[in-house]
Amino acid sequence: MTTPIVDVHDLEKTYGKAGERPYTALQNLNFTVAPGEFVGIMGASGSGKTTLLNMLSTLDTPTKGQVVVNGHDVTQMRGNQLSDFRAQEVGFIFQDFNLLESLTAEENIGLPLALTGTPSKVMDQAIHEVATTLSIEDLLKKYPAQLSGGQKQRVAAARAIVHRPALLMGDEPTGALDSTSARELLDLLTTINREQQMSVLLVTHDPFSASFCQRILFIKDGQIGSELTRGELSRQDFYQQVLNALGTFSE
Amino acid sequence: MLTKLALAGVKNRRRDYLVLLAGLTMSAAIFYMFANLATNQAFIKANAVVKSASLVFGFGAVLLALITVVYIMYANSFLLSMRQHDYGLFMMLGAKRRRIGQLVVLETLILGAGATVVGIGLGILVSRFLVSFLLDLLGLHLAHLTAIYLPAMLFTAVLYIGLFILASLFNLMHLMRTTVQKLLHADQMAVQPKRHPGRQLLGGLVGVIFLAIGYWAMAAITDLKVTAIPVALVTITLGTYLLFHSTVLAIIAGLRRTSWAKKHLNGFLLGQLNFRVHDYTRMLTIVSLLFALALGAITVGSGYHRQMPMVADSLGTYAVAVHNPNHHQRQLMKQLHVAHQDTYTQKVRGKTTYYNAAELKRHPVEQLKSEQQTTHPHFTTQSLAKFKQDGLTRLDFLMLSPTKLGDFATPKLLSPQAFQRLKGKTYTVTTIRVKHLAADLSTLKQLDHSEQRRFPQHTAALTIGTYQSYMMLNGIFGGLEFIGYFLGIAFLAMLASCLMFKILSGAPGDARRYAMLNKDGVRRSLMRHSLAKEIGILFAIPGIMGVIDVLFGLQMFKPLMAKPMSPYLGIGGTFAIFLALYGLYYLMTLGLYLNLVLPKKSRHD
Repeated sequence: MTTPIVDVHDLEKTYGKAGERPYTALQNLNFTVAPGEFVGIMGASGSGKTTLLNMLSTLDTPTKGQVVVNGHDVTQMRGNQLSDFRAQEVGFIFQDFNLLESLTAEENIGLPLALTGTPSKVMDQAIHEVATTLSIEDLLKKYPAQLSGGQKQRVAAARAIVHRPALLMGDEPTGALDSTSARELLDLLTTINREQQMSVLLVTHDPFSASFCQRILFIKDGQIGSELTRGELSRQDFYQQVLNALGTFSE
Repeated sequence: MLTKLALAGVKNRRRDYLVLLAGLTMSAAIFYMFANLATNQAFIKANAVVKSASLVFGFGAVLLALITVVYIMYANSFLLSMRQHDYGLFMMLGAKRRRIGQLVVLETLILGAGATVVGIGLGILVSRFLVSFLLDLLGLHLAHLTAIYLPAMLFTAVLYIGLFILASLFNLMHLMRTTVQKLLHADQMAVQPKRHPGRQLLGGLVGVIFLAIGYWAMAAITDLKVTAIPVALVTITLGTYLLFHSTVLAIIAGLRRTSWAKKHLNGFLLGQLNFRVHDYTRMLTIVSLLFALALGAITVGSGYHRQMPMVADSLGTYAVAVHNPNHHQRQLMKQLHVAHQDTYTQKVRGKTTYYNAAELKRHPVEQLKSEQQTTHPHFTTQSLAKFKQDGLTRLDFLMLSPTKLGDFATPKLLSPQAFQRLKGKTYTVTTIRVKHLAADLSTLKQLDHSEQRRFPQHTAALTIGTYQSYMMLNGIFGGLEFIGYFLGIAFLAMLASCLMFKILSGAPGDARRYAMLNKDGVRRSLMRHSLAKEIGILFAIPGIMGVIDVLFGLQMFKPLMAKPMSPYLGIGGTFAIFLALYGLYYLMTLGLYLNLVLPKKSRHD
């Protein structure tokens, strides 16, 4: 068996200061993501999805347990290691795009490369390659304010993969998009996942988005409640299966 | 209910309101401090060495009022940007525009009135402290100077309240005309400046020409008289604005195309600057003017402060002359840094003072080498024969008579025998020249006072010794010196509040951007450097421009600091101190900004 790209072991997160009643967001959480896998994490609001993603992306610290991403134990990282990890090992797509409005699309996309000190020629090439993949070549000189939601999210996706991270994480990336744009983005993610063998971890509460995944983990009350694998099913059939699962799961 | 909601909104943004209120209060306080001097006719008349002094104040007041208008415009747009989302939300939920309009007007007026009242109070306190502190430090006595001056209070209050009424009307119009949608999303709009290379080049050229006219006008103040000041003010303001407007954009655009821009956060830094350049050019223009005014005023003030004793040093051969020194006076004389000291015996009979020729031969009386005025005087002595023809009637020597020129005839030299035989009252007089007047002022003051008590002077019009010359210069130029320091400090405070206010008002937006960068994995050190550079540039540009303005502007003071004084003499030290203060202020602002903007440490970051 190959080494998993993500290995979460016995993860626990408790909020609350000393003396206050603690609130446990995640408890005894275990799962792995294999290289090249497209995994979805589903759950209702407050189930701990975002908390989990923050742990994986080093934006938050677990109370207990271990998170290994691409061979790095992120719970042991300190200072610059943390930011370098975010800059090099993972790519993010956020619900609210997280584009810097003072930079053009091109400059936004190039940011992860600029951070690692990539020569500008290599950078230009990488930007244009990824722009072609996502069909946003004609948007490169524009500022985020001049783009539609769908276009912004494609620019954000380009930024997330331009440095070829081992893992792409999405936090409700279709949350702010109309259905056409959402579908386009999910198709793009599928293509990237297949063609570049990039692992994708998608956090969502939307069954349609989740139906693009190969495997779905359902979180309930801070724990993995159940798991669904797509196997050879078509996306439409898998969508139906997800809806059914949600129906039983939430009861 | 709506009022309650509005108040809750204010509470949630306490920190922003505090910044806003503090900025406005500062501005009102400074305006009061200035108005306190400018509207105090008695003070101006008493200290107006030159007729134009009150005109200078007039223009200063106009300039400060203009700066205040721009300042309040900034503050108001900051207020509006903070509130429009809330108000848009209220309207979306069904609040009537009329009601919202009332709230806006009320809020602006309350804030304005509060800032004005507190500002005037603060201005009075600071005036009182600063006036007594400066007068003490500079060793000056100025008449008609008070901290509480009613006309200045009225002037400040009328201007500020008037401006806030205008601002509230502006806000009302804005809210009445803007759609709810726009209000809700105003903070997400990004205006990207369009570039017209041709127009920019022209703008830059016109800017340089305006600056040249302004600098020329200041140098030609003797020909242009009073018109020089408004001409310089208008042309330099416009010129600076045009120059910044064209060059800053062009430089950013140029840098953005280089590969340097693609390293680390440089691209982000340039993007940030470009993003805000419209706002910034106006602010940088004002700050560079304030910088120039503050530095210029302090340079002139300290110029007088340093140069008056230096000039006095060259006005005579001794600082004080003490007759029949008593014990106390001898003690004082020991404390002086003596460069040269002589003691002569005198006998007074009738109107004539007699000296012993042998004594004068042994200790020839020092003379100023040339009458030409310089701050580095040379001293020489004459042979007895020559002294009889020339030195005997020089004022410095005549003044040594114990009668202090009350009713006098030319002094006479006698042979030792004749001097011995002469009947008359005998005195000794000790003349002391110190190395630098500036170093011994307080001791000299005591010596001079005790000498005057024991041997009163008949006429105050003549000065005996360089210490008295210094006191006379102080009387003439002390007012200007004080005004220079006072205004310099006031302008510096205004600059500080302007710059800090403008920079801090950008903090909420920046906090969001840096949070994004943090998520994208930018190292904290990189973010810190980027911020340090951005704010550093905002400090450096007006600093450089201000120094250039002052270097040219000092020309204006040449007529007021006639030879051997010069407005340029020894400005290095003043500049260094000023720039060090400015640097310190930069570090403070940066610290504050880092605190506001950098994402909180998540874990051991």
